[in-house]
Amino acid sequence: MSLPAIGLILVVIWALRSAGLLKAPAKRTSRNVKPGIWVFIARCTVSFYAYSWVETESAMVQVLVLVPIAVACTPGLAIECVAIPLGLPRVAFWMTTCLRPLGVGSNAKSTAVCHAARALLGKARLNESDVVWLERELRRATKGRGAMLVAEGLLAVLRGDLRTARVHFRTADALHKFFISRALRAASRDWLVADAAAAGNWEEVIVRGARGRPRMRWSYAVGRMAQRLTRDYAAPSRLVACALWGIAPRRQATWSLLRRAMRTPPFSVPNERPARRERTLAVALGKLARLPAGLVGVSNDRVIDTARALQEALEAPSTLALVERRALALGATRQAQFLLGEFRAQLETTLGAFFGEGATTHLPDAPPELLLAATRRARQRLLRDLEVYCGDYKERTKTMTSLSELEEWRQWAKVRDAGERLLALDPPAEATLFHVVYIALCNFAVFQHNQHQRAGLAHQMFDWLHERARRLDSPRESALMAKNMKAALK
Amino acid sequence: MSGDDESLLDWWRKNPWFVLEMAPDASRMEVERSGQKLLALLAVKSVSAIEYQTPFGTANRDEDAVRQALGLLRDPHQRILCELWAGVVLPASDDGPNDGEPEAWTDAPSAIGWRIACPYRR
Repeated sequence: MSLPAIGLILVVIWALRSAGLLKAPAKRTSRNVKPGIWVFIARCTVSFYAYSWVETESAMVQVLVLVPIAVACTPGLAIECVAIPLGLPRVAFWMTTCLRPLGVGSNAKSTAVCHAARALLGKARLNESDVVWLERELRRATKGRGAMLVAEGLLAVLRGDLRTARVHFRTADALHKFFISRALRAASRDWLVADAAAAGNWEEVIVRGARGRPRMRWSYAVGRMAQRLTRDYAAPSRLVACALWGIAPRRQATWSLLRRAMRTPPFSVPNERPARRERTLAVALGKLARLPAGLVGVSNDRVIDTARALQEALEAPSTLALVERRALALGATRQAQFLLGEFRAQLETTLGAFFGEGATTHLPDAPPELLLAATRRARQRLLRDLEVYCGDYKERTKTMTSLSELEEWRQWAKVRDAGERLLALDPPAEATLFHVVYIALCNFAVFQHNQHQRAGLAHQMFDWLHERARRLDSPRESALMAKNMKAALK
Repeated sequence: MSGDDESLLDWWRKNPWFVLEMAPDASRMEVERSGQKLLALLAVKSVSAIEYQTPFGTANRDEDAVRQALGLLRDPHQRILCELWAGVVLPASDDGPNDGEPEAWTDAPSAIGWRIACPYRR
C-alpha cells in the first residue's frame, strides 16, 4: 500500500473519531494515551501533505494554509500556549472539544471545561456568566475521570469555594496516571502548593511539592525551595535550587521565592527558642483570630502554637481571678471554674474546626490538653461523617442505585478527604477507619466498576483501601485490593 | 458557637460587645441605654447605626442583632463568656506568623498564572 493511501486512511479514521462516529476498542477506553497515538500519526501525515502541497506557493498562501493546519494538528500546544495564557475560555473549550488534543481520549468535555476554567483564571476580571456556562457544560459530561475532578476543583476556585477546591485537587493528585493527564495533575498540584505557600503552610508545600509523585517541575522546585526556607535537613544546595528553578516554568514569578531561599542557610541545628512572653488570654485569643487569615490552609505549627498559648492563658491564675471578679460583680450564681470550663468548651470546638484540615497534621510530643480535646472532637466528627457516607454507599450498592459520574466523584472526594484528615489527625485510628469503611467502600467500588464501567473511580477506591490494609498488615484484604486494582486497569 | 458554614470571624463579629460598640466593663444601665438608642436609630433607618467596627473589620447590624446582644448581656453567665471573647487583642501585623517560621508567599497564586481567586490578598 502506497504512502498516500495510508495517509488517506489515517485521515478518514481521524475524521470519524473526531466526529464520534468511530469508537476506540472497548479494551482501551480505560487508558487515555494509547488511542491518541493514531490521531498523532494522522495529524503528522496531514501536516506533511499540506506542506508538500503549498511548498511552491507564495508566502501568503503558505501562511493561510499552514497556520490553521498547524493549529488543528497540534491543538494541545495551541491551547496551552495561546488560548489559556491569553484568557480565551471559549476558544480553549471549543478547540478541546472539536480538535481533541492528545491524551484527552473520551474525556473531551471535562478536559475542555478544565482548559476553559484555567483560561478564565488567568483573566483579570471574572465574568460570572462564563462560570455558569462551564458548570452547565460539566454537568453534561458523561465521562471524565480525573479531568472531571480537576474541572470541579477549578470551578470551585472560580466560585471562591477554596475548601471544595482543595478536596477535589487532592483527590485528583492521588489518581493513578492512567486516569489523569500529566497537565491536569500538574495544574492540581501547582494550585495545592501555591495555596499552601500563600497561607505559610510550608510543611504542606514540602509534602506536596518535593515528595509528591510523579514529580512536576514547578511544584517540585517550589517544594525544594521550601525545604531551604524551613532549614529542612534534606534542603538542596544553592546550586541545586538554582538548577531546579532554571528548569521549572514561570521562572520570573518564582524568582522572589528563590532569592528568599538562597538567603537562608541550608540546615542548622535549631536554636533554643527565645523565652516566651507571658501570655494573657486576650493575646492568646488574638493569635486564634489571626488563624483564619489562611483559612483551612493554615499551618499546623501555628494551630499548635495557638493552642499552647490558649492553654497557658486558661491555666494562668490571672484569668481565674478575672472571671471570679466579674462573677462577683455581676452576681453570677455559677462558680468561676464552671464558667471557665464553658469557655474552654467553646475554644475546643473552635480549634477542633481548624485542626486536622491540613494534610500533615501531627501532634507535638507533649500536646496541651486543649489540643487533645480539640483533636478528639474533630476525630468524632470525622468518624461520624464517614459512617454516614458509608451507610449511603451500602444502601446504594444494595439497591443498585448510582448517581452521575460527576456526583460520584464529588462524594468520593469528600469521603477520601474525611479519611485522610482523620488519619492525619490521629494515625492510630487507621484500624477504626478501616473497620468503618472497608466493606461498604469495597462493595460500592465493585458495583461502580462492574455496572457502570467507572474504572478510575473504582481504582482509586481500591487503591486507598489497599494502602490502609497494607499499613494494617492485613495480607488477605491487601491481596484482594491489589487484584481489584489490576482488574480496574485492564 | 460557630457552625460549619459560619467562619470563626463572622461569629466573633457578632459578639454583643462589638454589636453594641461598648467596652466589656460597662454597667448594665449603660448597656441598656446604648441598646435602646441603637434600636431607635435602626427603626428610623439611620445609616450611621447600620455599620459597626470590630477588631476584625466592619460589620452590619440590624434590630434583631441588637436585641440578641441585649438578651445575652442580661444573663450574667453569658455576659462573662462574651466579655472574655471580646477582650481579644490582635497581634501587630508585622509580628510574623511564629518564632522563626518563614513568612507566607502571598504572591504564590499569581505565580501559577492565576490573576483572580487570590483570597490571601484581602
